[in-house]
Amino acid sequence: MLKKSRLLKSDDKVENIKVKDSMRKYKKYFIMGPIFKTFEAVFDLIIPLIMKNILDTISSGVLLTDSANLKYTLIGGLIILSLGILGFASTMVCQYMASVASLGVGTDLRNKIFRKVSNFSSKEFEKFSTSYLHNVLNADSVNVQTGVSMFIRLAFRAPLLIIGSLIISFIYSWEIALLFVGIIPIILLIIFVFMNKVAKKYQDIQKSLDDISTVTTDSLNGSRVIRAFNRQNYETVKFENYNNKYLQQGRLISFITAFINPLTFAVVNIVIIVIIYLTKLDVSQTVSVFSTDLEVTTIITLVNYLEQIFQALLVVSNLTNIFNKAINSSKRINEVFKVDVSIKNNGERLVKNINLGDEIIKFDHAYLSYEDGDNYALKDITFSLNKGESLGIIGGTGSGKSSLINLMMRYSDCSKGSVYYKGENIKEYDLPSLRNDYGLVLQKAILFTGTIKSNMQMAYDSIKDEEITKALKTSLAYEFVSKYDDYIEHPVVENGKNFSGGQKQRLSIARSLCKKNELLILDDSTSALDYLSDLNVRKNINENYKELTKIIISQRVSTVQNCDKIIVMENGCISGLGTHEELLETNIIYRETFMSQQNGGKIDA
Amino acid sequence: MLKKFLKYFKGNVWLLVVSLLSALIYVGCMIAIPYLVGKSIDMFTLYSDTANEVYMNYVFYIILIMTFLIVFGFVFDFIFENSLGRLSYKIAYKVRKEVYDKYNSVSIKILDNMKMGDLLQRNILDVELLLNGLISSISKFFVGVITICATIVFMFVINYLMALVVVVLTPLSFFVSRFVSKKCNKYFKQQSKDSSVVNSDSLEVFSNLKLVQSFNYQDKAYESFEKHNATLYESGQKAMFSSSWVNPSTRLVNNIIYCIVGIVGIILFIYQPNIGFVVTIGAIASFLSYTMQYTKPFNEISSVVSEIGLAKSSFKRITSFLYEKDDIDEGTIEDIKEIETIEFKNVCFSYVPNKKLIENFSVKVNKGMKVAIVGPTGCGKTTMINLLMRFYDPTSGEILINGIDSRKLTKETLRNHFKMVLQDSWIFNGTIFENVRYSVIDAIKEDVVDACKKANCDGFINTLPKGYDTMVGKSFSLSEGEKQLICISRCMLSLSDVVILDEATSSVDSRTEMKISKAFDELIKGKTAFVIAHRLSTIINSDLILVMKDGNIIEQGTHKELLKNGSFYPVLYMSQFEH
Repeated sequence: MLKKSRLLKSDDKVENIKVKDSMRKYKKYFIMGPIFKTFEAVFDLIIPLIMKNILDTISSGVLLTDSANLKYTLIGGLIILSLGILGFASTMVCQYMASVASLGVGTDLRNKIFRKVSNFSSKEFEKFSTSYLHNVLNADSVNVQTGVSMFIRLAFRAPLLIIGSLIISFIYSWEIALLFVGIIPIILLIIFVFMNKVAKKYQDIQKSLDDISTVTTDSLNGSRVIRAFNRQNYETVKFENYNNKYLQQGRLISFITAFINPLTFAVVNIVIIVIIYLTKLDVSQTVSVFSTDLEVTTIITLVNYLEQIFQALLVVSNLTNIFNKAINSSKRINEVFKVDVSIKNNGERLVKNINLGDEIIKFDHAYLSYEDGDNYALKDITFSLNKGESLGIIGGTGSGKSSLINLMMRYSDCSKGSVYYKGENIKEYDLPSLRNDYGLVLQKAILFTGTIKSNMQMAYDSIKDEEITKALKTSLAYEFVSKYDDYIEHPVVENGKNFSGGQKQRLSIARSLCKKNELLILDDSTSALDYLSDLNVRKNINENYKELTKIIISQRVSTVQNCDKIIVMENGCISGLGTHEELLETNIIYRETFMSQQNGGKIDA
Repeated sequence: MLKKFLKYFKGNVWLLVVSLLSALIYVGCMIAIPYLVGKSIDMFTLYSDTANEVYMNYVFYIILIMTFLIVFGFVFDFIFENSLGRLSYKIAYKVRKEVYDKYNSVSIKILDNMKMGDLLQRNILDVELLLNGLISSISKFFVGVITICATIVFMFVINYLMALVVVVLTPLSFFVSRFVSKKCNKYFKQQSKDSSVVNSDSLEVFSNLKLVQSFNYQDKAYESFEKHNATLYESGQKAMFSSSWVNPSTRLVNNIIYCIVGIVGIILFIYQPNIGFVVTIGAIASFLSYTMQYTKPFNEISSVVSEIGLAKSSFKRITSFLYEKDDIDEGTIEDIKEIETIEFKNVCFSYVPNKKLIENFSVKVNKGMKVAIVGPTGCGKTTMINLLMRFYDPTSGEILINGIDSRKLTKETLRNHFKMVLQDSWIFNGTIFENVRYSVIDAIKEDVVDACKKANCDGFINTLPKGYDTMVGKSFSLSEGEKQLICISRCMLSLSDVVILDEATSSVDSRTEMKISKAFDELIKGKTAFVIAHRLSTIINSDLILVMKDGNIIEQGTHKELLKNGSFYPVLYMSQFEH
């Protein structure tokens, strides 16, 4: 095997691409592979003929001496052997090409899908779901990959064997060949009828298995509640229903599959009997059934070709399934490729620096709709914020708080009106620099696999350890990070499972502070912290990062009440804008929320 | 292990016997046919010139026998495969039932210590693997072995010299297929490892796209993805290439054996007068057909070896779970009156032997008291629920219910007197009606609606497309607040003396939060209550506050007492007045 990798590098371009493009790169493999495969198929067809020739020659007694017979036999045997080995070698060349091309195509597709999706804006992402895109990348690419491999390996071999076998049969006896032609549809019928049925039933049973899995998950999640209500027996009965359904479907599948083998066994052997019967007639009666005199060995050879045809038919039926899957998958991939990412970077290198107190964000009658239509997630939003100020945003679920962030950070563009960043239209501002200016901390704290340090380095590889420590101290993450022997080299496993919710939030706040950003958005990001820590984190940020413009989103009045400006969101509109005191007087929603939280307010103690 | 496995055949032994016997008959028929074809061909070669009627009749009988063999083969192959399938599915059914029941009887500690995915796998994937292994081990392995044996027997009957040649060549095919599948396994393992890396890469980025983009992290993420993907290419290409050796090398071995057997047969045919050994063309023909199919079972056997291996390790995992300790329930008292007192007496507890959590904790709670448990996040407040409900038992000390050690009560009796609403609201896949009715299985619709009204959730339920019959769970997901309201209604429906509540910390909007508060208050009205508290009103008004820190109860008393005498509680309490 060659040491050098034959993987071709993926292009950076992800606009206007198709699955076909990935295949085009491996064009020569698609052509050469089948050619090499053809050799083996032809040899496989010839070998029985050579054997038959030897048998015929020897049994007919044409060669007079034993030694001449022996010589003839050995030479024949040698030819068969070398054809076999040659066929093997050329087929392995094909297999190798198939593995390189198919994995190459799969890898290329995965790269491109990843690249494409990672630049999706919110609008495109709403259209698909995470799990859908994840499946496209991981499952569909594999289906196409398998399809490519099977295409190179088998798409020509199987039909070639069938046709070749038939041609040879026709040469020897058109009567028997016709018999073969007649049997092909029967076998195909058996295969397709039953296989289709079984495939459908397998889908059903897969659904039942999903149900079983759902019930099991339910019961594992609720183990305490089930016991608290003493409902163990009820659960057993409930599970019994699903388990029983699965059993019945399994029985049906067993019943149907059990037909396939016996039927094909019977059909093939019945043909053999018919051939023997016809030969018997031919031999025993004066009336000749066959147009030509059949050698006995011909019968054996033809029976062997029947076997070949049968095997090739099985391959064809498998292939159709694989190709179907591959075609469907490539359609899904193309659909993702086709997506035109709506957020584009129009203002390359338009980057500005402004002073403390200058206007940093301005919304001017901005509207936002995710679908095309009048269904607005944000309506007529107007406000401005200066560098160094703090802004609080308060509102219930679905009031449009996260849509505001989408506009600020250009995950979406507004449908009407405009948003200005540092005095420039946000659409004209350099996109990476814009996002670089923001630190975003979401309610669900996400850490990436790696180490604590690698997470802190997400924005700047070159960030100094002192700066990381400063950020960790500010977010109170230092308390537990400093206890690790490996300090910031401490590993972060998938989903940050090795940290508690509160720890993750503190680390993700620190990570944003490491960005050297100008604005910090805290989107309900202290919810897993107890009240005391929440307060201290906010105090620390104010003290240690004085120039930072802060945007704090919360459901709690107490979290935002000290901000310079507070926006009260309701149904996608700004219902109130002002300081805590002003809003208490002018805004009913704000006042009510404040009162309700004062009485039954959480202390998260 | 075999003994544990044989247990599942109980009651289905006949199916096993039938399927094995049918397999024997079927293989016999299948192998006999080429033999008869050879015989009839010999008749033709010997008597084609004379057209001797006796021998033609002989051929006729051969055809007749073959017809019978086909019919028999057809019938028994069908019986074999059908009964084998039935048997396997029955066993899968039995195993699943046992595992599922075990989920509900095993001690909670085991469930807490195992990962959810791991537990689930034992009942889903592992049983599937067992099922596959069972079907293929019998259908491929068993049939393969008897096919090989029967073929060898027939070969020896026809011509022992040629049969010897085949037997000598046998290890070749076996060796080749073993070698290939071993190589494959190695690369496939590597491939699945590499592909899981690619998998988690994409999941991590796709599910956190906003965050990734906020750090302009796309290019760096792509860099590492591309690297992992290239690794996957290497192992995937090797895996695919090595697995693609199977068919060609089988065909090669086949061709070699075919060639050698043919040549040897013909040589014997040439020299038969000299060695006094009868070889017919028909015999060679039968031989060649045997060798054409001879290597197939070898391949199948070696391909199922790994499947059987997988099934074996799956079965091990299943049984190891089935033999885990069950929940201990040594209690015998089945009848207690209304709960008047609950007393913790010198209770010590730890989840892990060397890491003490609760030490020498004593408190007495009388009927109607409200007990609030407070403390910073993650301080082990749920341990109290675990002990009260007897999901765990104290390491030492005792919990007395009406003066009786709670371990002397059956768990069912004890739990019948408690209601519990946990922070993680448990909603199972089913209708809302079924979810609420879970506490009282035979409750009528009116009672359910009544409970929901009391819990303040009748309103939102009626706005759903199918009201109480709306399917929730996978198909329709409720918000956290709504889920919690339904769990409260569930408890509202059943009658009990003691209520345990875990108030939600997750952020629900303030209107829902108020609804939940009201529902909680309604639920604990007039009951003895233990509340893991986050709300001021609950705490200030409770009769007893337990302050927990790092798993320990460090202070206890009423709000006033604690403010005056406590050290940690005042800090905790005062922090809310700062901003």
